[in-house]
Amino acid sequence: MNIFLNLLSAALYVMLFQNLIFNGGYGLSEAVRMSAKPRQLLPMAVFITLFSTVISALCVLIDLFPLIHNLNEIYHALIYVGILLVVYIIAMIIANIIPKVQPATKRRIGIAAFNTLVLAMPLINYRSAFNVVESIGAGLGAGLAYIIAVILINSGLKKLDTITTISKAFKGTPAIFIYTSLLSLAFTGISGTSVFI
Amino acid sequence: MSNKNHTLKTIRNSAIIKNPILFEAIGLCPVVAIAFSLKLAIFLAVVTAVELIVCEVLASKFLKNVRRYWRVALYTVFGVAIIFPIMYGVDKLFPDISANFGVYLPLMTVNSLIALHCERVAVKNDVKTSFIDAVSSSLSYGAVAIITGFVRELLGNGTILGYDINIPIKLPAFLMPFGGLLLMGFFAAALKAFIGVKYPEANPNKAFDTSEIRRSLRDKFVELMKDDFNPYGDTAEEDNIKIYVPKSKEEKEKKVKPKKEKKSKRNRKSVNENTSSPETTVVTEETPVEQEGNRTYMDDFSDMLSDLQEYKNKNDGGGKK
Repeated sequence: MNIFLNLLSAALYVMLFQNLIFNGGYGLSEAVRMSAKPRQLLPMAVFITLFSTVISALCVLIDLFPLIHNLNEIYHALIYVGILLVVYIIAMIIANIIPKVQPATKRRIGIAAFNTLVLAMPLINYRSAFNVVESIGAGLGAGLAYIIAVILINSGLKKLDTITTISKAFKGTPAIFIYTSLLSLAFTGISGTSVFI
Repeated sequence: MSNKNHTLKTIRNSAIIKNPILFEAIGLCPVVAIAFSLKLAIFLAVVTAVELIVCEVLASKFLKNVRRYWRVALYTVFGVAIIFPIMYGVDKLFPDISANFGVYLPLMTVNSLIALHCERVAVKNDVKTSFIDAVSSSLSYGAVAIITGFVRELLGNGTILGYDINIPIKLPAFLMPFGGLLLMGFFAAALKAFIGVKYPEANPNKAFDTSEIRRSLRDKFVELMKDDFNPYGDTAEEDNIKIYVPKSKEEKEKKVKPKKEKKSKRNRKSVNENTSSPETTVVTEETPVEQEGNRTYMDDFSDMLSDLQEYKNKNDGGGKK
C-alpha cells in the first residue's frame, strides 16, 4: 500500500502539481508540434512513457552503486545520457528484429527517446532524491503529463483554427504560443506559485 | 550570381521565414525555461550556435549514408561531445551560470533544434549549405533568445545584466515559462507582420504544419458534400441535362428483350429511347455525347443492366430445361 501511494504521489507531482511540460518547459516543442498531429498522440505517448519510466528506473538503480553515487552532477548527467543511448539502441534492435515494425514507428521511437522530457526525468529524480518506486511513478507521470499537454494544446488548436476574427499576424504559431502560455499560467496556479509578488 | 542568390535564399529561409523558434516551435524548452535574464540568454545563444554548427557540419560530412534511426542517436553523441566540456568549464569558471542552468544544460544534448536541422538540411545538402543554414538558424534562434531574455529580465526583475534600473512595476510572472511563451507569441506575430510586408510571397504558416487539424475539418466538409451531391448530374454536357428516371421492373424487361440481338454492338442507343416521360431528355445517335469515344456513364450503366438481365434470363431458361 505504501509503495502504491509513493508511486501515485510521485506521478501526480510531475503530472499535475508540477506539470513538467507547462511548469518546466520540458518536452514543450514535442508537445506543441505533436498537438497539431493528434493521430500521433497514442504511439508517441506510449513510447515517451516507456522511455521515461525505463530510464528513471535504470538511472536510480545505477545510482545505488557507491562508485557512481559519489560522482558529481556532471558525471551523473553523462551516465544518464549513456543509459538513454543504450536503451535506445536496444529498442531499435528489438524494432528491427520484429518484422511488422514500420519505418514510421522507428522514427517515432527516435523522437520519443531523444527529447528533453525523457532525459530530464533521471536528472529530476537525482535532484529530488527519489527512490526506485518514486522514480517509476515520476516516469509514468511524465508520460501522462505529456498526454495532458498534447490534449489541451490540441483542443485549443482546433478552436483557434475555426476562429476567423484572429488577425492575420497572430494566426498560426503566435496564437498557439499565447494559448500555451495561458495553459502554463494555469498550471503555475495549480502548483501554488505566486506570479505577482 | 545564382550561387549568391542561393546563399541569400538559404539565409532568408532559415533565419526569417522558417524561424526555428517563432514559426517551427523547435528548441522551446531552453528559451522558455532558461532565457529569463540577458546573461543566461547570451550564454544559451552561444552554446546553441556552437552545437548546431558543429553537428550540422559533421552530419553533412559523415552521416549521409547512415540510417536515419542511427543518425538520431549520433546527434546526441555529438551533443554530448560538445556540451559536456562546456558544462565542465562553466562549472569551474562561472558557477552562478551553471547553478542557474541547472538540469537544462545537459538537456541541450537532446535539443530538438539540432536533430531537426541535421535531418532536414545537413544530410541532404553539402557542407557549405549546411554551414550557412546552421549559422543563420543559430543566429535567429540566438536573437529570439536574447530579446526574450532582455525583456523578461527587464519586466520581471527590473534589471538589465543585473543592474537595477528602477522601473516602478515588476512582473515576476515573466520570469516563469508563462512569460517566455507569451512574449514569444507576440514576437512571432511581429515577425509575421514584417514578413507580410517585406516578403509577401512567403508563407511562414508552412513552417508549422497544422494541416492535419484542418484536414479533419475539410474531410468532414467533403463527406457532407458527397452525401448531398447527385453523381448522375455530373456530366460533361452542362446544357444537355440528362435526368435519370428509375424504371419499373416491367419496363426494364420490355426494354431488355428487344436488345438481345443488338448485344454485341458496343455503341448502342440509350435505354431511354422508348421512354415517354416528357422530362427526360432522349439521347439519340445525333447528340454529341452518343458518338464513339464519348459514351456517357448512363450508357455504360444500361449496358451493364442489359447484360445482367440477359444472364438472368439465360440461367432461368437453363433451370427450366
